[in-house]
Amino acid sequence: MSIVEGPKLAAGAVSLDGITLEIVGQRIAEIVSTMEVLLFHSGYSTILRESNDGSATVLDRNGRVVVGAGSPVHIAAYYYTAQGILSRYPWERMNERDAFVINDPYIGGTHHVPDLAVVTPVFWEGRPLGFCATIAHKSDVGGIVPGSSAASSREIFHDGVLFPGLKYWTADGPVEDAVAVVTRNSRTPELVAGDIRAQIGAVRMGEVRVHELVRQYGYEAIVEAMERLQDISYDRIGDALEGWPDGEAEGEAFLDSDGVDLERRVRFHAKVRKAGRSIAVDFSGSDEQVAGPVNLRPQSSETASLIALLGYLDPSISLNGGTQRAVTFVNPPGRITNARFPAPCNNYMPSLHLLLTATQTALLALGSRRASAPDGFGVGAMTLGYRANQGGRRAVQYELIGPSLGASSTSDGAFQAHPVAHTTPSASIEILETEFPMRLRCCEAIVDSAGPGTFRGGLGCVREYELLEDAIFTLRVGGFRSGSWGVRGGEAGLKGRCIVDPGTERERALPALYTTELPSGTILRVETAGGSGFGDPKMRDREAVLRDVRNGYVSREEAARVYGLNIKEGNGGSDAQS
Amino acid sequence: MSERWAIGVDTGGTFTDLVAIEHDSQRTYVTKVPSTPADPSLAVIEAIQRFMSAEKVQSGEITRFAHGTTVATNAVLEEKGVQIGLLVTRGFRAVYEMRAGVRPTGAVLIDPYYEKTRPLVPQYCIEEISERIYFDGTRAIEPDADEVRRAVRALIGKGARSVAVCYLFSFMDDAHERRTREIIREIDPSIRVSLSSEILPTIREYPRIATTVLDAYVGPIMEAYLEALDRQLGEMGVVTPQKYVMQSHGGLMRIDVGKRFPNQTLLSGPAAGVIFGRQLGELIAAERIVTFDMGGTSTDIALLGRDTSSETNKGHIGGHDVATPMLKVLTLGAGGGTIGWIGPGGLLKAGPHSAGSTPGPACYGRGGTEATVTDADALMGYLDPERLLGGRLRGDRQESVAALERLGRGLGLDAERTAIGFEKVITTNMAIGVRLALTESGIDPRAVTLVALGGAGPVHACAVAQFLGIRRVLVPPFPGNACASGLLQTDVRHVYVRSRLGSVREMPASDWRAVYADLEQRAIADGRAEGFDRDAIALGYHLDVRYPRQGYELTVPATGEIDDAWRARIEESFHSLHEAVYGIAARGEPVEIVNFRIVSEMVIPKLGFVPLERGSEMPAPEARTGSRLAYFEAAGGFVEAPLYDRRALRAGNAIAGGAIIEQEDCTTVVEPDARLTVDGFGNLVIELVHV
Repeated sequence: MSIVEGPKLAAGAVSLDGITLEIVGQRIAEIVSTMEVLLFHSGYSTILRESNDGSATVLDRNGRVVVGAGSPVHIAAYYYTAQGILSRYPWERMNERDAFVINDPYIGGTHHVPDLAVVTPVFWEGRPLGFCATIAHKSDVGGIVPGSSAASSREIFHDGVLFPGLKYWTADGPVEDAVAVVTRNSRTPELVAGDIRAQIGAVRMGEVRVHELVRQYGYEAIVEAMERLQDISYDRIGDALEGWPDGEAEGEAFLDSDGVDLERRVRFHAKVRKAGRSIAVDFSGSDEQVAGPVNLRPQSSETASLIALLGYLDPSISLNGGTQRAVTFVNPPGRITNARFPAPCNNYMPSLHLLLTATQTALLALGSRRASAPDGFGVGAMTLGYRANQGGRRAVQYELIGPSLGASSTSDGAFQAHPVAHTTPSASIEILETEFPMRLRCCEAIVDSAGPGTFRGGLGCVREYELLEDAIFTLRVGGFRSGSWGVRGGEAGLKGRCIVDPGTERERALPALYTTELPSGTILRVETAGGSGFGDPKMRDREAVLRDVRNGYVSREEAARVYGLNIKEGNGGSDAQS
Repeated sequence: MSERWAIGVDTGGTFTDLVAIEHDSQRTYVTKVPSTPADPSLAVIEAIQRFMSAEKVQSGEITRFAHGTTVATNAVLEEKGVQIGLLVTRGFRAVYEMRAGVRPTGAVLIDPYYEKTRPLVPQYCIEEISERIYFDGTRAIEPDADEVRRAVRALIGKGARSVAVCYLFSFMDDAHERRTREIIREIDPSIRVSLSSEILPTIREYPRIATTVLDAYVGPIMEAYLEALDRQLGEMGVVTPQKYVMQSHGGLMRIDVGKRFPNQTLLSGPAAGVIFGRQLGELIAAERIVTFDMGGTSTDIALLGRDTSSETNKGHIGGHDVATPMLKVLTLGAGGGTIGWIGPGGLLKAGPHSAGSTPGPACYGRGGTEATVTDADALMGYLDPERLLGGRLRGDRQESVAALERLGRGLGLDAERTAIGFEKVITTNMAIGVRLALTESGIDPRAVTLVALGGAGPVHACAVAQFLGIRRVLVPPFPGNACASGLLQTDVRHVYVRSRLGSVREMPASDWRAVYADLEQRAIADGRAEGFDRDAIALGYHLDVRYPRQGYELTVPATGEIDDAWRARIEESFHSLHEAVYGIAARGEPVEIVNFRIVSEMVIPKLGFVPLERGSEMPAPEARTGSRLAYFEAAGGFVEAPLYDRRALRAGNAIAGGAIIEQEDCTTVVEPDARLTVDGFGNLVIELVHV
């Protein structure tokens, strides 16, 4: 144990100074990072170890997040997950070193069933202190397709098996029945069991470290620090809101379809009411829940709006229970934003993105000074399933599909980044061609695909695949038909598309949520949407327009038509006229 | 000619450090001169001249020169590289700008103002060539010479002085890239050409293209710098062929080879310090070393040990990605100049902003008004504000007090309590950084030795060690000159890597030998060019292997005759390494080769660990220079701490905790509950007692 002791504070009479609170905050953040390091390093599946599709956090005894996890997408998920555990196991029914697994989006808080949370209560001398928790995407938890994310899902039972908060481990070791049920229901039992073990290892270490902290600073001090760290986020949101005018505004965005009725658009709607230091977001104007797997649970809807709000207010505000507490949500059951059991919700990400955009639109109308145009629509993923890969084995090629970002009020939108948490997919063309029977024909920015504006969106990107074997192709993206739009005089970016055999008589466009068989020799063209533009394109810096034309991002015709810049033939340099 | 004087010169942001050692007598000379950023060679030459006149050395007596340079690094950070062109496979212009795998952290993840790093080459300067090689090495489409000529002329017409060439699967077959270079040379031999198949012939197109682009971007600048430096050294009469430059992976390369591989120096800044720590670890037979190199604006932390992987290929510089092999170093934004401020909610925050050297900490009296770590150190009695920067600067303690008072107002605390708190915050931040690095490698803090380097490292190392339960801290004789010293303890070393995917069990031995033969040939040719006989070139054979479909590889040794038993051995060594690093192994799974790797090492004599004269346990009376009030929490507050002059300490001296050791460029703080002894090489060995 360390010699450097923090001040020993008398129980009940605590008031932490700005130094101790900073140190305790950093230490809790370290605990979160430590759990994530352990998770990513000891996880069994490639999803965990390489894609790092997981996160960890520390919650207070009421199940509210104290320090945000590495993935902002999981913030509200942790809160609802802890509530789910508490609803089945109140503190008096939990024991030290119990660990629960929960993946049920209705009882717990994960966005969809492949995300599985492991939660352990932390006691101190028999008193409830908080929770350590991790969430990690599982390779398979049953359901009608491998991976537990079927486009054809019509109820959550098709998505996968639900674990509503199972006691999976105790101080005495694994609960064999629970382990048997969880592994028996997966197509990849070793991977699932291995990843859950990694999650349990992580929360155990989290518990050890939280105990160290309590030993050093005392129970009351840590309880107080957990509250006050949330209060800081709560207060910062209030302070920032004071700079905004009071009022009410709304925004909406549409999904092409729910994947069942291809002709019916689905509406996401957010109405924002702001008064003084408080803000409420009302999703009542959203469509009713749908048959396909694009429904949201409240954890997903709230995450969308919280990320939109912090992005505009101040993204450096820590996402925690205080952030959540600062926003009031109106979200009646039966809407797509709060689907009733047993609606499927495996393909939540495109819906979450649209609701994020709807909230941004409302916040802009309300008078946010930080401002941006919507990202391109169509976040999601595609899979190509082959009977035989390069090594002659069955194989599934999985790739994330992301549009480009919308422009901000001072900068062009980023080229190809995830719109909800700005990471860039890492799939390598050379790795893909080495492992799967297909070849890439191009990876190019699409000319004139960026939404024009004083600041333009990021350009869309095209990838063309030539299949060398028969394959089953599944596309799960948000939409192609309803594009995003420009802001304050800016214009929309080009929409995404997915075309089979372009330029031939066999050419056909595929819907956004779809599965089909494609024969060897097929050319598959996937175009992602460009981000939309911000501000009047005529006001765009002339040098920037010229640069875009030189770079082949904007054609001369579009430069003339949209930006009002006529460029004579030549090198596109000094001979331009506005 | 036998060795006389060896000199190591390390260019830093503020100072250029020189360490010179006479081979036979092990006589050591140390100096530092202000760096000259506009032309860094000026400070290098000045430092050498200062050494020569101080030690009355003739230039011909300098028989080895090893140099750590930041010229390439700064060209990237300051965006002062040359205008470049890029040639890629037709259809794949977006690969570079997309930056696959980029993953921001913290607030940036959800910031609508997120931007990716601006490309070093705009799409306008990327030309496409209709050529294609398939994954198995098939030359599907040969490049057309006329098309290449048109493309190259277009790039030159746009002002390119340096051209990067990166075609898909060029690591399988470099013929297309080599043919392209020939054509460029025919058109204009003054254009510098960077081929991805030479710089980084490994699978994954984005890291390869990003590294090749960086090489082209800094190449001409690095070439000009090294040529000018070499010429100036020649004019001074330093004509030894043993002139070396430090690389990011902690090996030297000869100055003329350096011109060919400028990207290898991009992250070499902390490397020499890490090598110094490694040699020190071997000297004292420590299992595991953590180097803790705390300077003015940041702290570099590196973990060294037998079973830890100390190399990485995921480097970042100014938002750009570089994937050549480098030492794994964690850099924290915590240094002597780190500024304290009151954050949201009234929390005392440390950094990441730094007062740097201008204006510097408040006590420098150069106009800095914000409280820095150095100001807190002065108030705590750890540093003597009258003697800063090795006695070059007479600072003002009152300025520190005033700055901390201002900071303390936001906390409702006086200057002293604010300083105490600030020290705790900075110690916590640094200790967390070290502990996360240890956790990542699964290492118990109690098993490591913390080596304190840099001007501020020895002030804070003991507190960090105490926080973490580390039991031993080591302070070498010249902690502020660790990089310059490290340069004299580094071997010439090159890493050659080539991707060739295949199964360990099934890849034909002939393919295997062919790849190694090719790498061997290059390694031996480079070694000979650097003046070494074949006998002096030691080659290490390694494989980067993985389980199928994993996104990362681990490196295992692969020396020996290729037979079934040997293949099984390689598989098993991967399984056990995977188990050691990640806690699990999949012994039933096949093992897949991704890269073949040869490391060439050409050993040169290590210099710098000079035995120190023995003394008694009690330091000589002249070593005790007085005392001053210093704050130690474990002692309950400010106590009168004895001061020692390090120059007067002798091997075998022992000093009780709660003391301060002063030397020209550095101060060592020994916490109470610790005991310091001076070892046979003059290192301060501080053993901590943990309760």
